[in-house]
Amino acid sequence: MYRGKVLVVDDDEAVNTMLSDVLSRHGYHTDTADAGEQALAKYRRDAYDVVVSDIKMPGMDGTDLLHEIREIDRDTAVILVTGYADLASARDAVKSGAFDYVLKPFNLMEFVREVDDAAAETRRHRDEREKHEKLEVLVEERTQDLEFQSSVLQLEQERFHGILKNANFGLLVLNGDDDTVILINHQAKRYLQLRPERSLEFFAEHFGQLFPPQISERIARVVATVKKTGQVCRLASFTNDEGLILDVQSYPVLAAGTLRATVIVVNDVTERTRLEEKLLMSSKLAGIGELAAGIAHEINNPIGFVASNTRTLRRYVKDLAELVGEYHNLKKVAAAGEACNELVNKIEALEDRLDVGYVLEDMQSLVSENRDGIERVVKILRDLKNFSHADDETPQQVDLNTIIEDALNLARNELKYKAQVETNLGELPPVTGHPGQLSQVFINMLVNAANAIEHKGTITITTTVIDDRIVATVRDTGSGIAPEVLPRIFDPFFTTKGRGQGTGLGLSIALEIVQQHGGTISVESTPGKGTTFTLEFPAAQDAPGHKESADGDHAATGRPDR
Amino acid sequence: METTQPPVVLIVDDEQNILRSLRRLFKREPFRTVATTDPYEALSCLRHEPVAVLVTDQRMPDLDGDHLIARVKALDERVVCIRLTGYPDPGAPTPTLPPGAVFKTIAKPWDDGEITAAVREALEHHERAAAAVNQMPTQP
Repeated sequence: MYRGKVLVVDDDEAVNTMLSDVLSRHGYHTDTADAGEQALAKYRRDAYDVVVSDIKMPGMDGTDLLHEIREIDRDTAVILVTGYADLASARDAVKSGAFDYVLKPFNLMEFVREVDDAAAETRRHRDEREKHEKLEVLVEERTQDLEFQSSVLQLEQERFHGILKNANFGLLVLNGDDDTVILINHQAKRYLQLRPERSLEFFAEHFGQLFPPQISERIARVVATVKKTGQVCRLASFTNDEGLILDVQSYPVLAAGTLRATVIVVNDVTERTRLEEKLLMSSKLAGIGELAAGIAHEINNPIGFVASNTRTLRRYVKDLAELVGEYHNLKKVAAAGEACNELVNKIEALEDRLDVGYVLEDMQSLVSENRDGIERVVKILRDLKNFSHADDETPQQVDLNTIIEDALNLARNELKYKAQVETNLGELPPVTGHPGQLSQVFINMLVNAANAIEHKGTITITTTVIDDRIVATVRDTGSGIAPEVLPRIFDPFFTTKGRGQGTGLGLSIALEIVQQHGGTISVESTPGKGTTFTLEFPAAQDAPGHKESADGDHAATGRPDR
Repeated sequence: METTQPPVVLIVDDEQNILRSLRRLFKREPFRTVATTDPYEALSCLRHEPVAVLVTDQRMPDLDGDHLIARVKALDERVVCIRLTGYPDPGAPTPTLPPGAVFKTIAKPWDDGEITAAVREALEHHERAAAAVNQMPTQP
């Protein structure tokens, strides 16, 4: 069994041979050298597990050899051989890196055990070194890895920072603990009209003043709500001094259930708002478009009879003028004292021919019919004007019953051939809102109701007050809405009509308008039986008392007569 | 036996004022005018008046013009029918009507000359048709 390779160094040939022999018998390969220099040369060429060297040699002695070997590596165990005389230098050598020393004369059994131990020591050293080296490589690899990752992280961080700083939305990030501003980007400064060169520290200290005074309190409330609920919160949009319409949203950044930061995003929705308004307007016009044929019909009827009557009236006037001419002739003849029988006969014949009795009577009813006809046209035009008139920005106090009556007038023609309209309008407090938009909602409801009725049905409109809410219902006895369709009817562009027949915007716009008025729409439908839309609006605050006190004020501060 | 009664022009419109103004217009025409706002009354009128021409509004609450024409034609196919409509785009007559059932469609507001001429033409049309029937050999 091979136990290792040993280099035996002694200037005495006999010692070399003896030690080689005994080691060989114990499973070692051996090599010998008779001088330190030769041993060192061999050591440099070959790998040994143990070196056994005599201390006292001419030239390079054992101690020198030990030092040379230690220069080369620190693993190979070196055993020094010495006599009593050199015991001190042997001990010194052990201190400076020899494994051990053995005394001459040799106790061979002891010597072999010593070599065994030394070989084991060498292996242990080598194993450790190997492990150590492996570990070093690993550490090196890890270090490089970490450096790479951290550079990537830094790059990422720089990139994110760049993105956030230059994003086209306004961004503010507040520290989760104390709400100090930890990030504010260019766009946020622009939108909020803050000076771009100010430092983050400045903004951190003045968070309360970042937003315009009219909304800063609401912002603070929203941030508090986000912190409390951990949910996204949206603020109604506001207009800044530049006229930009800005939408503010806030949401939390949570990590392991803890609020790390509150993010506030400010978006410019000016363009979007403008488009929405346009859409609202164009859909309003589409609604009118649906009614246009009916409205034309309503106008063409009175214009038809008024125009025809007017031509008849012209004929009557011409006939009467002819008759009056004859009366003048008669007056002249009578004044001259001449015989007028002939002329009277002629006039009587003319009166008969022209049916004067009928004409005189009919003229009166004709004129009154024409007046009716013209009034009808004027009324239609007035209703249209009310409807198409763009609403003021500021909401007014509106009577919903008036709105409903106006809508009924406009839609009447569309309805009257389809349905009997029943109204049951209770007395209502005013709602705060935009009359044009609200009449659009009801026209939509009414046209929908009429469309739902295939042949002949009833549309019932009721208004009432339940608690402090104004409730209006529009019920039809039409075909109803299939349950699978019901959840989608308020979706924009959803329509059951054919291509080009409906925009699918009516109900979605209606819902939008009603929600803007703080109201709700709900729907109940039974296929084959009919549909009921229920609209609820909050009554205008301070409504009933307000009117009285306003009246009182008016009386008290009425304009002086002088 | 020859009838000396003047032919009747039956006018139907759910709007009384339209009827009155058309009656005024037709007052001096050599035909008699019967007018009603009720299409069902118009149908019953057909049974005891020698109606030659029907002038009917298109859109009426109970029975629309095309349906009235269909029923009038079923009662007496010789009646010449004129549609009157307030819609800007009156559209073609209901496909269920036999071809030629509608003699003319006139839009409101109408031109007095046009509608009078149309009714006169319709009367002539009716007379010619009646004459053609009369000339046909009587069945043994």
